[in-house]
Amino acid sequence: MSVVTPSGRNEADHLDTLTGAYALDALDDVERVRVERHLRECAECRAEVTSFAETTARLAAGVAVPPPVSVRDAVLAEVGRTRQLSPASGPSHRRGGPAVAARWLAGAAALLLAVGVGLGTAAWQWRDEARQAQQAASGLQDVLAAPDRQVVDVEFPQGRGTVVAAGQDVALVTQDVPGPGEDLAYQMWFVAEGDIRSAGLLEPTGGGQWWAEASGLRSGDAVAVSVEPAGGSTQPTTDPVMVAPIPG
Amino acid sequence: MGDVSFLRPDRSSRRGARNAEGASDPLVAVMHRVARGDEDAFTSLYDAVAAPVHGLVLRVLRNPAQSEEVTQEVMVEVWRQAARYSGDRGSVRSWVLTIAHRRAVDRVRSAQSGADREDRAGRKDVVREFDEVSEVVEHRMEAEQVRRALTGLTVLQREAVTLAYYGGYTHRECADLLDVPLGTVKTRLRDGLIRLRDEMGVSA
Repeated sequence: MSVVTPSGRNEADHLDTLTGAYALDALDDVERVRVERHLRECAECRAEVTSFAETTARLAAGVAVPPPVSVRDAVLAEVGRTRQLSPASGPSHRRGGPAVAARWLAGAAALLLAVGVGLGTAAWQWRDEARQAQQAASGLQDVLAAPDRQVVDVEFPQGRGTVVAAGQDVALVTQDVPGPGEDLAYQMWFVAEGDIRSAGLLEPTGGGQWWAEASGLRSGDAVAVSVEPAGGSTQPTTDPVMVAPIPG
Repeated sequence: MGDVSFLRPDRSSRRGARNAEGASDPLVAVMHRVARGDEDAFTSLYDAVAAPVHGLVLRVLRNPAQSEEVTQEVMVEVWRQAARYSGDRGSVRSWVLTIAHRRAVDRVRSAQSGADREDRAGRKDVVREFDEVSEVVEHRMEAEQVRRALTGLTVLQREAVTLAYYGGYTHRECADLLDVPLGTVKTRLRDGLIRLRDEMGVSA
């Protein structure tokens, strides 16, 4: 079996055999991230994946079933009150290397606009849960108790969370957020224009909760989370799963 | 709404676009309007893609109530992300269906209790089940084409591709179910798709 990739690069060795599984969403998260990284740099594999997506679209059309009218009504109603994302900087797999960070920033900036900023509401309850879960984390306690704290409710693709910021300190607590996948971690970031700084990994507290706390937030920063290889990355390697603007 | 009828999924224009889907995709213009927040355009888009989306989600999830929920989520997601669609990513329909498949698969994998697992084991039938062709008249031609193309695969290619796509199984699960090495499944998934693609005349 040949291991020479279309682009002939070593690191890609067997990745070209994964394009099929990738197009069928049959990979685990680690492999998917690796393939996506490869796709950013390999036009041939990218073209193959696109042609596979056209192929699987036929497979879907072959089993078409119209949804009930109630779904149509619900979708159209929801669309009327759902804000659209602004365009990202480009196709997610067009650029390579350092440009990933730029793309990520652009995506984060777009998401900033889309994420609703709410103060308070359900945050209280989660904050209490977080307080119980993390009795020992005095730093977190301090953030949660600070009189000048800002509370931002955030949504993850699944589940939600609360970011609490006080001065330079930030605490994040989630609820009903599933694990990031085998050999992966959730990593928190401080995001400013042209500047992304790691704010450490999220830790599980059990029961679908994750939390993190960090110091070093600057005025104007957003707080974001992405899925990274276990141990974390120096710069994000995937699109953010959550971005929270910190008001003021 | 002159172009609404142009978009009806029963038009055979799509088959004409077979070899240059991205270029002559009539939904691209609609997508541009959707990206600018045009809700009427979105309604047209919905009517053009909802049946394949729902059929696919239903095939993967099996549970009608959950499938309706996921179909709704997918279509709202398409609205939210409309400005991120780019012709480089292929046709509008394949972009939407990629979102749909991923969402359905996420739902299956995140909700896997032991009972779900058992239930999913029953899904090995997906392999034989393609005989339930789409009831939707406008998709019948495509269903026929898909059936023919699937017949052109080797048994292992067909089983691997249908388990992964219609069943939502990972390649590891496919390898277990089919009792073949993981490397073999990876290869069959890819060469199976290549053969399907060529059989169905999708441009490479």
